[in-house]
Amino acid sequence: MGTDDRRRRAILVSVASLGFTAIVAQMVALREFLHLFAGNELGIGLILANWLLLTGIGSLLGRRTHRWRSPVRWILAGEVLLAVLPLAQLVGVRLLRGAWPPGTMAGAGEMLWRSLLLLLPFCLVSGFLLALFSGQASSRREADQIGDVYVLDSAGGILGGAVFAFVLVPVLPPVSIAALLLFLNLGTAIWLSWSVGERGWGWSAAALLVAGAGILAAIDLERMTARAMFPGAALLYAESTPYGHLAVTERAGEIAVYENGLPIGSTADPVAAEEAVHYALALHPDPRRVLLVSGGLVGAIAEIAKHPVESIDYVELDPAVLAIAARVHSSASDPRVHPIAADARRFIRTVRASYDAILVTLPDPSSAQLNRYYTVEFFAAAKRALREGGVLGLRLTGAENYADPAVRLLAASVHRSLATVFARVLVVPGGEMHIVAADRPLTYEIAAALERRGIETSFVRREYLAAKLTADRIEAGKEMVAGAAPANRDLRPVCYLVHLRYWLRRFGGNLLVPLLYAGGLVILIGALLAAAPRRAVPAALATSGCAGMGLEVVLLIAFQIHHGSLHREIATIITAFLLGTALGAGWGGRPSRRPARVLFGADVLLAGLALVLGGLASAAGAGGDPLAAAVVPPWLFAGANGLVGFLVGAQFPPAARLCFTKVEDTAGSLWAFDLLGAALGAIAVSVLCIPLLGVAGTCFLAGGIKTASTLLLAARRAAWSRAASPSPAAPFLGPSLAFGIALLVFAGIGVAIVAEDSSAAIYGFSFRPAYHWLLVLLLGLGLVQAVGGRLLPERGGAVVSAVRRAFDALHRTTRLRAYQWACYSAFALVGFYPVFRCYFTVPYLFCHVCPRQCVFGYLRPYLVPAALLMNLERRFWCHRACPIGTLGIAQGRVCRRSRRWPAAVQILSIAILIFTAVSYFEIRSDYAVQPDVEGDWYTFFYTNVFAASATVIAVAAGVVLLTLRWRRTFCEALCPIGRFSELVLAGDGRLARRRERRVRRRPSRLREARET
Amino acid sequence: MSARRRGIDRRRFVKQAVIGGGGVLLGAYTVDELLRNRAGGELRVGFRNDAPAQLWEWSREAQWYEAAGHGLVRCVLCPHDCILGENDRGFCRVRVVKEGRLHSIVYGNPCAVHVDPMEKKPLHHFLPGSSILSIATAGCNLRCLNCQNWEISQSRPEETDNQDLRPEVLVQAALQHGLPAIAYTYSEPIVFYEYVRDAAALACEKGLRNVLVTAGYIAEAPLRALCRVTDAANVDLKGFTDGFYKRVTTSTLRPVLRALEVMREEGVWIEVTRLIVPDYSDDLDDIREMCRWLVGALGADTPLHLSRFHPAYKLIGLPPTPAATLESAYAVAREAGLLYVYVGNLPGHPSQNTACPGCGRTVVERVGYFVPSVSIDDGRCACGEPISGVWS
Repeated sequence: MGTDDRRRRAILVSVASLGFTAIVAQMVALREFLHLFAGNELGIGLILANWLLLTGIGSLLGRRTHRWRSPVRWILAGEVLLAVLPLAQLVGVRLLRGAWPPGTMAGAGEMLWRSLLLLLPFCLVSGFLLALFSGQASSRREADQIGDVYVLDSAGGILGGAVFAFVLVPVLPPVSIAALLLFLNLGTAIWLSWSVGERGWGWSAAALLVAGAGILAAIDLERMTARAMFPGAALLYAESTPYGHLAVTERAGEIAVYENGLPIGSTADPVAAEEAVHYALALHPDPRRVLLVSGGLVGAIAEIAKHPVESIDYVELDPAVLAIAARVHSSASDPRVHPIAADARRFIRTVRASYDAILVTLPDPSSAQLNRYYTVEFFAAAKRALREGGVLGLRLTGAENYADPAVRLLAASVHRSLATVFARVLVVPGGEMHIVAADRPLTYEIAAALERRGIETSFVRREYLAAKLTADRIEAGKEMVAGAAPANRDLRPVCYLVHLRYWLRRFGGNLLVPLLYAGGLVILIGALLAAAPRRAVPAALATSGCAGMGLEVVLLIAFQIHHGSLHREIATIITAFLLGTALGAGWGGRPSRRPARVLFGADVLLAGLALVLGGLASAAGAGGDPLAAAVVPPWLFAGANGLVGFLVGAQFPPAARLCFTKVEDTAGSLWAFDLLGAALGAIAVSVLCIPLLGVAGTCFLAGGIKTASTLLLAARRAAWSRAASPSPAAPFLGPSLAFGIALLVFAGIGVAIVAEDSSAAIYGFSFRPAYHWLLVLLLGLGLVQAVGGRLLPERGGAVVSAVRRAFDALHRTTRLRAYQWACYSAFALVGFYPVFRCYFTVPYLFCHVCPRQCVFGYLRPYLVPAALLMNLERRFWCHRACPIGTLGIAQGRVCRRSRRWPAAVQILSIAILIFTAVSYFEIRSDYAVQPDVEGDWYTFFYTNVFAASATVIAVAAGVVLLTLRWRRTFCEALCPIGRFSELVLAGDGRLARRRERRVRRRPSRLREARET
Repeated sequence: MSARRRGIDRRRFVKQAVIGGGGVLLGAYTVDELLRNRAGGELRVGFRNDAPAQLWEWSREAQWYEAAGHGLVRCVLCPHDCILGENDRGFCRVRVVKEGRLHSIVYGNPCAVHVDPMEKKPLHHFLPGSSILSIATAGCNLRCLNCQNWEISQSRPEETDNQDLRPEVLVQAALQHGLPAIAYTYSEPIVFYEYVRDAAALACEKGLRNVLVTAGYIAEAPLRALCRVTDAANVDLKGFTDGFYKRVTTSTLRPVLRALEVMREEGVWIEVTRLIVPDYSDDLDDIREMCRWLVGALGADTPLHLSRFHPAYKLIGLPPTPAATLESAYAVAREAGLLYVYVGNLPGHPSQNTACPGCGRTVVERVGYFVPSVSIDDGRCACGEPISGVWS
């Protein structure tokens, strides 16, 4: 066997190992992060999107590696990092949990940043290696090896997903799984270093391996880190099950059980247990057979057993919870109790008319998984499972004294869903709201019924209920659920978005976080597309990544509705997707295929598949509950997901062939498109699309996006056959990205100012003294530069030259200077604030009479003179510091064929300048004399509300649009500062020219004199 | 050639001198202004420029504020001492400056109105067994991580659903329903001070009692004024270290202790509630120290309610307080000399009855919020031992 063969084999094994490691590390990280973040769709979406985004950026960074001399050493270094980082990441998350104020949860912004920082090292390295491997997979350096690496990576992923789900999770705790990754990657690194003759690396990796094994054998890292998460309590038991991390702790004799860091039950919470049981059971005259959905850990079984029941069926999804419940609560060993480990949704569908009461004791509908227990379809299934006159009891977050609008909406939606199925719905108001539904009359005579039955309780009894069920509180509860709200349906799940809004209000953040995140991804993808050769191809990949992720989420939700949240089956469906991508890439990468045709065909089929799924979903949603009637077999979901994966995967190798320039370059950018598209899908689909558009709407959206990409491909296909190979890629992070970022900042600030829930926070921020000092500092630096000074000394040490190099690189790639970026990011808030909220119909002009200045008005007395001073020499403010100017300049760099405004328009700005000067004094005198007189300047321009004005925003949008054609529209046509400075400079220039002429004439006269 | 360069140089020199000199002057002016604003502005703890466009129609000028120079006002109602400019909103979210005057924007505008048992406040030595009309407005001057009413306490009044309920109407409603007292509770009565003041004065005239359920974070002078119309108060003493108060509530301990002393001096009937949060305020030494202070400053007959924590607001990752911790705290409090200690939020606990400190007989029997029997005659047990409290 030749050296080349050995080397190639080792590299290929490394690729598969990377795929394996990435998937397993992702699953481990996702599960660990749930200790820090709520397990709602936003938390999961953010972690997943961050993961994909960072990996995509990593692969982008790997594009330039073809210039490197010894890439194998970088691969070895990367593998060593890949080995260590999953473990470090895991320990980092757990220590962070322990270091937080006990018992608190992260808000949306914290979730975003913390997960971004914690995931950064591993994801960047793994993405980087993807690009690096593509160049090393063979010595041929052809497009095909990009496809080969894709196939191998997917194959590693399949193995990783399957082994993780079926072998690792049920058997090993998380730290051991991360340790396994450590050994796997160090092993691969050793093999690779031997195969390529880098013995030194091999020995180092081996030493690290031995050291790691020694350390892990010596200390129980799992237990140490698990303990660190529960300071103040004794950790009795911890277990990682396929469904989450369970921990049992003890404090002063009280046992508490946690799932993913949140308490789900304790031995001493009789109030919760009694409320979960007795309201519903008291309202049934003779409950014999009871179904308890979760709630065993709360202690509900002992309470049910107080009633004369014959059997208690107790369903938990996770068998480990059943086991813990049996150990924590002695009542679970009652012979009447039948523990059932199953998905309750699935279980209930199989039962007909056999229970007198069904008690659902689950958390609020905070995720798609939990939402399944609060839908019309679930309630209908529960009704079928109930005997004549049976009751259904469930809990929701309620209101002790005052109901938040989001809580009202949630309660109203669930109530409406119940009311479409059951004839009577009774609400027991309180901090925990309990709802009982039945087809029999329900009354508030709960205490009396319990007394008749002779049931001893500590809280649910006359003495407490008298205070809980006062006339005014019952009335408030009824009013709370009476509001208009849409019913919650399986395929149109509205509750979890409502709950997310409530959660965000409670823990901080708002829905802008996912919106802006998605917007940022769209811009990043757009900017990369603008710089890419044969844009239609990477556009197809990015949209496939997005649509593929969206369809996968849709299929998983549909499966859970249908068959339950079953660990193995869901793992199978996800693995099917990966298998599909590997097979698809293998099929699409065959040399005999015509790349453009494969790409186009897969695109058409993916669009068609999305539309068909959308049609099926809307047909399913239109009927009452056809899903229950016609059971779709589980393999069909796996098959559909595999097909989606196949179509996504099949596009990758032909795309590589169509866009091929250099191996690492093409591989890095194509991976980035695929991953960034998937990140967009991860954040947008589960958080926004499904709650807002429904399952069918999401499918149609994916189909629409894919159709658009198909049309684009069709339009461009003909041109590719004429030109044999594409032109090389434009520079990375081109001006389009700069403009995209600038526009995102502009829009983001606008949305944040206009949106009610964030406007106060951003307003408060804009008045922070530290922020103002930063602005003053930047103005000072600007003045120094305006007189020709330099920010960095001409000559200097290594630090100065390194900083200068970094600044130069930033300038080269984005064509905006570092100072410009600094000013833009700092002054954007000041400069754009009046556009989005102003007391006047014309922003910027009347701050001196504003009753409620924004930050621009507050700083205007310093800002405007400073800007005019800076402009005195060469309009330094306009070209370097002004945020509006920078936005216009960045836009001008992107747009081709942009031109200057004709001179006639410049007259407009002179008129505006005059108007500004006149109105400044006019409005002040009007304000001073009598503010309320009709018809004066003040009342004309004053809107009397600090609000967004549609006209102003429309004008701003118009200016941005006009700038596509004419350079710096605002600066040239509207800005008084710009025009004033221009006039000063023009006058100055004329003076200078006159003097120059005089000077020129003078020496000639001298010369004449000398000559004569 | 040299002359030409000299000419341009002169021009450039003049321009640069203008820019440089102007820049220095402007910089000095700006820095001076910002520093001066800072002198009056950095102390501001409220929300800048956050006042609603219009005042609520019954908004009242605040009673406790003073001018602070530079067109600013200083709210002296609570120890936060907010310094506010035109259109600013105080830290409590319910006081705004309009036209140079501080206004309360929750006057006559509660968002929660209920009839509760007296025992739910909790007040155990004040008209046992009666019901009490309870009201709250939006806003609070604290930021407790475990707030049970965060939907109102951490909201602006514009964000909550409010009712029109002027003091006259409120008092009329209490009289109509035959309720003996009005409680200002749920969020924080200190922040709707003017409303409490007027309603309580009117209620006093009509023979009704007034109850404050408060965290006691208030300045001395306003409190003394309010005490004249207040009959009883339940004060949350959430911890007994400054560190705890800062970390969990964004306030400090000393003013709360001072408020308790002032209420005592003014003759208000005081009951103290201590919520025991695992990992935050479950230290027995801390509880012992607090109880000793209570005995010394307020008297051994001050009822103390040791209350059980349930996950709320931002603290959702903690389990309820273990019953054993509450038991130990109970023992510590009794040991410190307090005569009336109750364990709250723990249904069925034996300490819910009031025992006579003299003979040990049960003088007030309680089951939940029910009071089956009160055997106190003229403030005394049958054995002749006086039982402190307001019994009729």
